[in-house]
Amino acid sequence: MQEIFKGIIKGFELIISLDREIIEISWRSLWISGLACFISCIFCIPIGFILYFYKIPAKGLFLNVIQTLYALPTVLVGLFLFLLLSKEGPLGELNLLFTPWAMVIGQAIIVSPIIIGLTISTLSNLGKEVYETALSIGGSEFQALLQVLREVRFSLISSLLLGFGRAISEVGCAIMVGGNIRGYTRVLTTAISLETGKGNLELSIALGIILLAVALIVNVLLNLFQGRYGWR
Amino acid sequence: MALMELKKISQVYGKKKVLEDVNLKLEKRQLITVLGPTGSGKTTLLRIMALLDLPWEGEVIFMGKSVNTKSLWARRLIGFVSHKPFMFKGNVYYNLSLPLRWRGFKKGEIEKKVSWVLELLDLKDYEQKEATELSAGEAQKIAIGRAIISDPELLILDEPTANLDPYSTKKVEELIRRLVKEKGISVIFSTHSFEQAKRLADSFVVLGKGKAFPFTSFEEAHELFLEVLK
Repeated sequence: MQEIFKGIIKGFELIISLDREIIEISWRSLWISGLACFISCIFCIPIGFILYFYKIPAKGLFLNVIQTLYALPTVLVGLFLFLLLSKEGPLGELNLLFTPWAMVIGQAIIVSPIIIGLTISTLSNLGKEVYETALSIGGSEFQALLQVLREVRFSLISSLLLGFGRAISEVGCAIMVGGNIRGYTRVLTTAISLETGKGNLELSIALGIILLAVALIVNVLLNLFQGRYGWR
Repeated sequence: MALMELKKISQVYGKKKVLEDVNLKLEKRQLITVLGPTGSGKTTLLRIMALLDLPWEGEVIFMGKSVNTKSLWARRLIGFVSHKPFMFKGNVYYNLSLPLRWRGFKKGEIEKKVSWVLELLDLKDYEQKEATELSAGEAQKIAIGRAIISDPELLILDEPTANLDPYSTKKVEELIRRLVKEKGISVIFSTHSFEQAKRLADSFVVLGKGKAFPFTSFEEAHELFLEVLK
């Protein structure tokens, strides 16, 4: 119990003292997961729209696979990427293994099923109604799809938040393809894993608090944005 | 030349044939009502006419040309309002201006047209009101306004007064009459109410057992409708 209290106190000390390494690790966690979610959204929101609005063979099967992949083990993604990006792998020449970019790719893969699935789920609420209303007042198919995007944008931001939560909290893939290199690929989760392994529980708890705080701040900021600019 | 002509239209949902060999002609400045019991295919027919759904068989001719759901030029000359219209998030001005923005109208023209429509609808001070917070009657009127703001040739209304109180119903009926008389728009609307059909329409279409029967006399249409119900 004492360890936990010490950890909490140490966490606040580290936050207040603006420890350079902690800030650097936190910032790295933030941008890697943020970029991964952003890239995933660029591809997966249109995929979600296509799956919802267009007739595609074996659509039901595809949706089942996506839902199953919500629980995609992160170490499995890590292993798959490791094999692809290692020197002997098909993408070895890109020299991406043990770089932040490999971590971005890994996290983008991990959150993609969530973004696709939640996009479809968001659209099933009122996507068809908005789309048909837009067509009925003379919108082209593209204009109607953009209108749907406008109507559901805040629900999509919530999906993005869920994806971000999954990305920033994963550790398996980050260690396997990032390598937890100090000052280069070390992020909050891999740092926690390392410090726990070393028996440095106070620092682990402190990093855990910071990880929670980062997720909380992102959540609050996005909620504030939703409240200020529109409707939920 | 008829404004719209349906040739041998059939529509199937699963194994059920909802419409079968429907032929219909709609002239300019005509006000037609579609009568039929629940499940007779009124909405199905109107959605095909609005080019929102493709028929299983048959052809839709609009202004002399064969059209389908991909015919954007035709959809832009046809306004459709469902019985429970959807309002986009934003104010009334945003909702009314959207069809014009999509057609490339300039800001000044849009402002003029929105003012004109709000005056026509008797909703002058509604520009800044949240569209999603309007009452059913107000939303129905705004939806009609949104459909007519771009000067369509044909307005299709699916049970436009189904969810309205008697006062709002009267207002919507007045509006429909004015649109035909003053703007020269052709209107086709579906209704459950004989009284409303008699009050408003100059032609009638009765749907029953998948077939469509056109009439110019209300009494004949009424008689057939009762036959269909048996």
